[in-house]
Amino acid sequence: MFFNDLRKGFALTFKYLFKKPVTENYPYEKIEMPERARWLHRFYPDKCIMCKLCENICPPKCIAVGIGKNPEGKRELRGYDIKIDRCIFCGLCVEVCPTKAITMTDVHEFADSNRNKFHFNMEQLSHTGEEEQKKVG
Amino acid sequence: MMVVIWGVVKFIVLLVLLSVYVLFMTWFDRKVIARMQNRVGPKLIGFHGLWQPLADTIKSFWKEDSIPRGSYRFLFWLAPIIFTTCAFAISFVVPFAPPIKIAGGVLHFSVVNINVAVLFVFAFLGLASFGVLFAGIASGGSKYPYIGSQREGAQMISYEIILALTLLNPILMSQSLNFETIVAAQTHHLWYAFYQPVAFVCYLIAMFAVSAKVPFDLPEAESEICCGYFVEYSGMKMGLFPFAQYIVLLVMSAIMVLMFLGGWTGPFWSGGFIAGFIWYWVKVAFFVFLFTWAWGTLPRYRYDQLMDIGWKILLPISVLNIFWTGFALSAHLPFF
Repeated sequence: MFFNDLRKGFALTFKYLFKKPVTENYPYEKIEMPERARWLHRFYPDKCIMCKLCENICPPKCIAVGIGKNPEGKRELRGYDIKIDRCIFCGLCVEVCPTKAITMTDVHEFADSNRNKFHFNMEQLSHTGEEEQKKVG
Repeated sequence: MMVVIWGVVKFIVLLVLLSVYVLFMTWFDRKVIARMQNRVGPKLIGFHGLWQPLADTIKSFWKEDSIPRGSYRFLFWLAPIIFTTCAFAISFVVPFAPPIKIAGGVLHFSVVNINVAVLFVFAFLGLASFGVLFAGIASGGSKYPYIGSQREGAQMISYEIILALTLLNPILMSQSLNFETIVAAQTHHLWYAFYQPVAFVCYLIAMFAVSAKVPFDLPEAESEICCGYFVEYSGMKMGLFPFAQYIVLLVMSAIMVLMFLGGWTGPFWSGGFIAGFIWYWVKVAFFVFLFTWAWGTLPRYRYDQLMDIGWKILLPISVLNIFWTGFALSAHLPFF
């Protein structure tokens, strides 16, 4: 009666008109990433046991583990490539890794117009996040 | 000769002012809706994104102007022209400021001050819906525009009746079809909204329906038929549809203020051009804001609900209201 719902609704939107927007002013002010942000991977070649679990579980199949044999006949890690433009950042590779050889960092600003820049090799992946730390330090 | 020159001058001034109004109305709409939803809205270009509509206009001028293959090219071109022309034509008879007496006559702030202004508004409002109908039909069998334009046609027919019936009450009370006379009649009494609260509310609802705004934006329901009748349009041709719609919105608000809320009279500090001007535009701005406010608040009615409200509730009520007004006027009831 007396259009109470209508009054309530209009009052609510009018109140929100004067509230502070929650939008982040992102490209101009950097967002603070949470501690366990899931962005660009970091790879620890020493810890890797070449089980290929991450390669198999990856839904878009963007991880490629290169395994070869050294002269003594032992298995050896030759390369570890992630095509990050295909990656969906699901974090399954991190979850499945038995030795925690692959983790995810909060490095998220690597947009580029050149596709080749998104093919990260082992050398790059094992130093993820270090440049940012240097800048801070 | 002087009349023609004055008319042309007023016409050009009105054209410029309305274009600027429409530009900044889009900014206002986006900004208010954004703030109601805790967002920021346009903010990069100019002070709080104030030049965003200019950037949008420049962009839409350079857009590719595509015409679908199966369309009727003539009607396709004609539709936005009819809609915009009729919307401008409505605004010609609406006074946008109180008249001032100058040497040798009265300066009216409408392009033409005719004695059948209200009828003129209804005539061109009806014709304006032909623009929308043509847009739907000319889109070459495309489904969404067709559905949208049919909805617009049905909605216009239903709600123009209510609009006319509700406005008949102030017309009966002031015995005039001229906006300035009707406003002058309200200076002797209270505003007509106090005599005719039912007609006032009915007009308020019908106003939303006629200008096809939320909660009655069925012809261009984004979530159902993705902007309805102008789906196939692009570039500046597409821009003309919201352009005309914003003008109709302004004119509807202005008619509301003129017919029911005493135009340029105020409860205090009235008389004089500046006071009248401020009172008038404060009231109109409130109703223009109400459109945006309702957009941010209300959901959309279903089509059958729209028709139910129109034909089963508003129409009987406004017909009864006219009987009451006629009775009250002929019986010389107090306050009438």
